[in-house]
Amino acid sequence: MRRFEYRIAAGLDEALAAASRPGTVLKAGGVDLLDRMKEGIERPALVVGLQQVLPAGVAEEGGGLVLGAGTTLAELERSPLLRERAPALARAAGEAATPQIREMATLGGNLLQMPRCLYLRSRHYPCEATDPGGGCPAREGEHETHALFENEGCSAVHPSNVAPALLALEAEAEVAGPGGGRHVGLAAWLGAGAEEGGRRPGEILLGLRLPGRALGDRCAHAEVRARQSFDWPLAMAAANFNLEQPRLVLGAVAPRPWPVAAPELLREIRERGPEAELLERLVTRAAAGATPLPGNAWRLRLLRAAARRAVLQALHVAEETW
Amino acid sequence: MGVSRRDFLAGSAAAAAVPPFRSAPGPATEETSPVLGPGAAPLILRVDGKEIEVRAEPRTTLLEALRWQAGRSGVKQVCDRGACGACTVLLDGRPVVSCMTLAVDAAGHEVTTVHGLGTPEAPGRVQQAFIEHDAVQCGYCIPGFVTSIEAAIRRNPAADLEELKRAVAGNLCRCGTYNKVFEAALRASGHAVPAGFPELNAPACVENEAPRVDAPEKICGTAVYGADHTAPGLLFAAHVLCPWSSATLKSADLETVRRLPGVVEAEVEVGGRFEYCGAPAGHVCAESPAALRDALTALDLQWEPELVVNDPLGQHEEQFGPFPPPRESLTETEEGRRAEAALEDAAVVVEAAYATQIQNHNPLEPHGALVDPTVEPAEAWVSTQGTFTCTGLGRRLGKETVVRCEFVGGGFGSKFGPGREGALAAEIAARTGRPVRVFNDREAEQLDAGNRPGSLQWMRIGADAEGRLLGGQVYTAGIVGIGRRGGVSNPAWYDWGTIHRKHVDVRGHHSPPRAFRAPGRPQGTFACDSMMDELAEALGMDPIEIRLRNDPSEVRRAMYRTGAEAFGWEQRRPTGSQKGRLRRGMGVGVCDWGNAPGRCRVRVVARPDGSVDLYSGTQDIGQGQRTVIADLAARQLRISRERVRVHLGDSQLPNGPASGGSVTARSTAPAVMDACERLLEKFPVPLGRNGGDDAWEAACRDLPEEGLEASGRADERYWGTGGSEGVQFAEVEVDTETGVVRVLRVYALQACGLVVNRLAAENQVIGGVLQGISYALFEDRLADPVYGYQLNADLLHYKILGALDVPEITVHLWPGPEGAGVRSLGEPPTIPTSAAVGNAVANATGARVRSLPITPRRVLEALEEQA
Repeated sequence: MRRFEYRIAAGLDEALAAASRPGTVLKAGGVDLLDRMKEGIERPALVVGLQQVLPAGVAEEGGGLVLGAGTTLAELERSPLLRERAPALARAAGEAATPQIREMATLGGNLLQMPRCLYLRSRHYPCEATDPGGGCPAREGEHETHALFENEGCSAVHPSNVAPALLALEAEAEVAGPGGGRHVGLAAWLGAGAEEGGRRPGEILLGLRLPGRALGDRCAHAEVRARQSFDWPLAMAAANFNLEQPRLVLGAVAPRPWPVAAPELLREIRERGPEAELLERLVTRAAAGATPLPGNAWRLRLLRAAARRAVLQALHVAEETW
Repeated sequence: MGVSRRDFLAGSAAAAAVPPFRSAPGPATEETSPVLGPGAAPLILRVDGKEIEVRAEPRTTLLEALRWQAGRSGVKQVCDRGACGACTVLLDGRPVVSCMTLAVDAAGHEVTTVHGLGTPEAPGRVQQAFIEHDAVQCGYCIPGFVTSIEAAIRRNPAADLEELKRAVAGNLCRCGTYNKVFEAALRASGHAVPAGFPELNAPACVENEAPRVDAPEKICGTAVYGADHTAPGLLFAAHVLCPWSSATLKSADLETVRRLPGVVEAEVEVGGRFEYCGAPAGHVCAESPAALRDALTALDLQWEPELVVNDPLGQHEEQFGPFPPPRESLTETEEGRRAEAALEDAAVVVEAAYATQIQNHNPLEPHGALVDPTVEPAEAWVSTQGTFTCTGLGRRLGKETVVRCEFVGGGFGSKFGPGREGALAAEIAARTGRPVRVFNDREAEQLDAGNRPGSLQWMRIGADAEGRLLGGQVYTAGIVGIGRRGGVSNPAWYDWGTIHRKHVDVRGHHSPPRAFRAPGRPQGTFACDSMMDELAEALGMDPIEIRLRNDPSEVRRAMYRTGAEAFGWEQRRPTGSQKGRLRRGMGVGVCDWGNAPGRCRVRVVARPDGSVDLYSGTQDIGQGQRTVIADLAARQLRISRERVRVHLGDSQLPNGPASGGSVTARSTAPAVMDACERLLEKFPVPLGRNGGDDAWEAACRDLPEEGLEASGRADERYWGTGGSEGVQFAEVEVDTETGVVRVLRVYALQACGLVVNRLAAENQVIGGVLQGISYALFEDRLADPVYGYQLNADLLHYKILGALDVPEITVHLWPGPEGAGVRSLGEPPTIPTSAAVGNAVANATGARVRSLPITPRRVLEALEEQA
């Protein structure tokens, strides 16, 4: 890590001012930031700590839930409210990283961390994503864990374990920005361009709202990983059948959380149950449009498995029955 | 969970439509909170209940502050990236990794380290349970495990096994002592669990209940390893490494670096060409770890990499033609023709190609040394598995030097000699007259501090209708990088018939291999035991049956029968007969090890107070060497082990073996027995025939003040000749939808002659099995195929098995004959595991993965091929 100045922001104004200043980075739990600084790919002159700014905790609001961006993954994992009303999110948080990291890492940090591409994370390599024009060594190199969709440019997958569950729960982001605050769908904030509601420069995520209509025990998160202790998923999926229009969102397969557009199929599954033929159509739809790279096409199988499992678990159907 | 830190939740609830934020902030000049750094400033930390003042820059991690300024060297630095948990501390009771915590952020919070949980004299509850269950080998990771379990039990005093396992899912143990950790954690949370397998193994042991003698220091964090040592005026140095397979160093900003504050030396070979990833291109030395890192960064190295072939098959093709070689090329010699002729009567001939990956040693204590010329005699604190392999450092330093390695955080074959780290430390110490510390960071540890070479193996083997092996062809290639030899033990273990064998070493552009726990054996055994199962399958024969017909070892033939019954082998389903998503399979693999004795001297001194000191310069790298000596001496002298003190890891002590070839225990044991016999002979008053503490104390009372001394050597009367045979059974569950393999249980039978300390011996076997599973399923040096940098040069992505990947393991120590001496135990138990796992996967699915590691991708591809 290079030397930096450090200031713990006393209030939101100070944090927002810092967020727009060149050479400055914001720090919540600091896990991803320290990782990047240690690798030498992040060299801020000033780090501004958000610990006194970010709200933390899980609470009921109207019929829904609000989550502070400063809530740790461990707090999400243990929250009785989440375990009861949004078990997919509690599970997704509880499977991320290690117990120690989950005590440190925040909800906001997990959503906003840099992708886990081994080239992007290495000071030894150029990277198109962090240094446009540098080229992407993953394309010719090691890309087994890279994106199956939308991988023409940077093919690193979105690294958040909780994002698919949050999208399936129709989370709305509450952000502060230089021009004031706003509420915006998390899907748009993470995945869309600034003009469609996507993240704008200098914005700080303060929290998330989960609407009451999305809550209940008919939602689930499923992931596939090689090592059961601390690993990044090779594919994951979150399904939510609490909603009038059920949702299925994939993770670790694209540069953003990847909603599956299959509204009728999902409704049919909710009405008729997860019959084998319906599930097969659903997972085929989930994999449709994939443009895998030479070394990662095999992960389409895992994507299908994760999707199938999330749906079965959300509907409380034992996996062994198919 | 309530609301904390700010009234966000309540506030936002009241303002559903209108964002509850204040208006846009003013310009940056309105910022009010104080700026820290970038330089160091005093900082008060509350550590283990006391306030401690340190000096910290904002970038100083809590780990650095604790280790280097707060005297908490039990908090270990291993991966420095939050992946291994060795630096776990409690922050207000929550377990966090101190390497990823800024020291300034810990101010105002209660920091609890392993030191705050107890001491060797008065261990805490969790520490006590770890001690009693021998939940420790080299010990380097254990303070982190203790701290994680402490947090879990504080949260839930009656935590169950699943919860406890999850609590240590962020802690890595390279020795593989997880099952003992689980036992200890259960004990600490109030469950009654036996320590190990007393019913199976108790009868034959010298010491059946007592844990290792140095467990308290290791578990309570007070054991000082080489990497923990410090000295006044210490300098810090590191090598500069080439990241590429092949590159020329075009430039380096040496001028800037040499002007940086705190930089003592900076040298790199500009214009030099480097031929492997990890090659040393120079070094930097500075006054502090931070100044060292700044200097390495400021070097601004500019490389010109060149394209070379980086994949083993491509390298083989380039150097030796295609793999496998055309059969004609193997049958053109007389030997080749004879082997081919042996196949004429074969009922089946199976031809198969196998591959094993490069596995990095990754001992948790990195390679390195601290050389201190300011004391007399000079000292070299080396992390080594051979005290006497490091004595050459004195010549580099130009003065008499004592090598010290009282505690060593794992080696596994990679830590013979002082290494280039020790050499650099000694050279700079000689130039500067100051103590110098050179310990690798994890990247350097991954790039060039030892690996098990990869292998390509092709076998064509025939058997008759009764399953007797007739012979065939074996062609093996070692993947050796810039090294010379990557031997593969193939064929192995069975009577293979008339074999024609050829081996080549395929050179490339990665770091040279080093001996790795049973060099060549796991590779060869993976292929040989896979082949045995493939032959059995072709013949429609049970895998145990074909082994019984071809295994020359009487011991293993007995083990197959005993093990099969205990394991429940009869429930093994026919290969490929299962249809469901989750399929279970069973597999078997075997091993053996030689037992030629090594040389060793031991000195023993009886003191007037009735205590006994034993001195040997050899070292403990986690095998329990102090314990072996203490327990054997106690038995020979017929006294209780509490009277015995053991002194190791010091080159001024009598010469003992390096820990390689499983030789340490089997060489020191005869010397201990010899020394003790000689001591008894020297007693002026003969001790009673049955001895005992009272008689001993009475006899010692009249000894002179300096005590009574005797020396022993590895006398052949006490040699443990014979074999260290082993058979392992594994059961796996394969998820055929995802290709994910889980090992459910392993039954390991292992012969090792006289068992000195049961818990330590069982622990060795567990560690061998778990390293074998890690090798079978996860570990792989992942090199960029284009420029050859090891992309996973950390512990985030170099995957070592963790707590949630650990199966139930039963250790069945196989008794030697009456009067058997101590035999090898370090290496053999890691040999069979990968083969047993691979065979179990094949049995479960009908699809065989012939390359390690057995990843989801490979399982899915094998299933597809089969379909």
